Amino acid sequence: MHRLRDLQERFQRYLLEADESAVEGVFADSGGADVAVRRGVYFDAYRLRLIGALKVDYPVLVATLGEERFARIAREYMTSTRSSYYNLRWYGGSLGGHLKSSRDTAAEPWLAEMAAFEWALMAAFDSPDRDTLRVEDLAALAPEHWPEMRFILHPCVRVLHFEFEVPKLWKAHKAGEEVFGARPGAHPGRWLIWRQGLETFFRSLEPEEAVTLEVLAAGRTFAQVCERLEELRADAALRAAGLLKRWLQDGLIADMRRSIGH
Amino acid sequence: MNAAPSLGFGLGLRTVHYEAVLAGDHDVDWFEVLSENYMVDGGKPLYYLDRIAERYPVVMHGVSLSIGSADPLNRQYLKGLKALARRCRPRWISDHLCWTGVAHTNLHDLMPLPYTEEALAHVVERVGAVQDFLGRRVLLENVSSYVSYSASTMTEWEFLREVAERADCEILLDVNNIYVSGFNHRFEPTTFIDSIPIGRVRQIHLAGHTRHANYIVDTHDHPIVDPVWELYEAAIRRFGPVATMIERDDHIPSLAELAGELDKARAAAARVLGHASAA
Repeated sequence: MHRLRDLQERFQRYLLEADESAVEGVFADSGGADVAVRRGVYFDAYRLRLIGALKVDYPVLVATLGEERFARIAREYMTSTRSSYYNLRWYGGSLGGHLKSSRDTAAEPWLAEMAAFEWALMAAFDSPDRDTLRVEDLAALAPEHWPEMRFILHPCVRVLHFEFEVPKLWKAHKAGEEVFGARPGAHPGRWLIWRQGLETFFRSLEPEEAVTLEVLAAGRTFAQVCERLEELRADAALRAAGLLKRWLQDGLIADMRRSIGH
Repeated sequence: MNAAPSLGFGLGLRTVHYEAVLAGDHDVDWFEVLSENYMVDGGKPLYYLDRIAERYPVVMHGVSLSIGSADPLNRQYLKGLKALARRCRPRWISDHLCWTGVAHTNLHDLMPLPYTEEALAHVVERVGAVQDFLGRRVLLENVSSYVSYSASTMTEWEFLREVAERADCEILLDVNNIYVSGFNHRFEPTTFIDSIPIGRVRQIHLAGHTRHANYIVDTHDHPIVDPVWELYEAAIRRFGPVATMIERDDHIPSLAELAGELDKARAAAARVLGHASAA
């Protein structure tokens, strides 16, 4: 095992760090192409494969940055981030963090936000399948039980805060508009991302809805959700019921439970 | 061995073909699914897999087993593989005779092994562990390779044969990979085929490749070339009616076009075996 490990570590060091000395004497000349060309096939393929996977994960980021700049950023990311995943699907998860800290992109914070947005869309795409609670399920509940109910969000639900209107830029690209070099407008706010059936959706959340959803997601009872909303408006219970109905229709709620202690 | 009848002629399942596969207007007998693509929590991939597996035989083909790595086997991966097998009930599970990384890194490539006694013993032991864990025999596929190692003391076909015999696993024979490696390492592809034990080959892969001046890269983005068809006939002549499928991973044509290429495989097998329904 010692020799096999040594050989694999050497080959890998050459691939990851371009250290040609690591593979001196490792490969045999079996005729045909030169050994440097042969090992280069693996060297190039590694880079093309990982950059290709990142391009699939972040299509709008690619369109915004352009192929050339995206490839440069992807190479930089590959230098700092190795894949330890058995599926390339997960490799690009920290690209947003990389964009935030990289000298090349730190001054354009919307890039990291776009990465976070595209990653969340992908996460919603293959998030766990689970039944959703229906409006009828809630209607069947006796009104006196409403205050003590806690609601469980569907695992596909993501709420992200953006300083910039990156979802708008994303939509522009999908509508066929040129987004190369585009800078989204500054418009801080929360965005809801989820999947209903097989389709992925997103929409902006007004501050009131965002706060209410946050309290509900934290596992508070419906009574506590209403209390929080009362700080913002008079008809809190009615508004909370209205929001809950919409979330049920959108498939955001997986289940409900009666609070322990009631 | 190989007592079960061949599955016939299949294709690698690709996302762009999901709807066409379910529409059913094709004569593809079975589908090979890339295991890792379905080792996710939910959504579209599993939705389509469930429906396709209800209607067609499927086999699972993985790329991350890393059977030859010096690292320990990835138990989490194996658990995922077993869970997926419970879900889609594949006729068999395959991966590659290669390593994909070491020191907890995945290179996401099928790296060739040195053909040494040390590597052989290592792989044989691990195939045994994998088969025990999955509760079934697995198929290992010969990969395309561009380098060979100074340390190797046997040929690739000797190594593959020994792995299969000693670990009691089966073989997924990739005829295009034999052609590609034969060209790159200057060996005669038929020597490879003639050295593989009859009865161990459960599946055959066919694919296209990219020819450079003095080497070939296994790209799966072109139709199958004539010399590979000739090798396929040689393989069928030796191994009999083995389940055959075409892999296409880039420049993916319509399902109908790929099914047309699959008909060429049907015709080739029928020619060799001397009757109309070869497999």
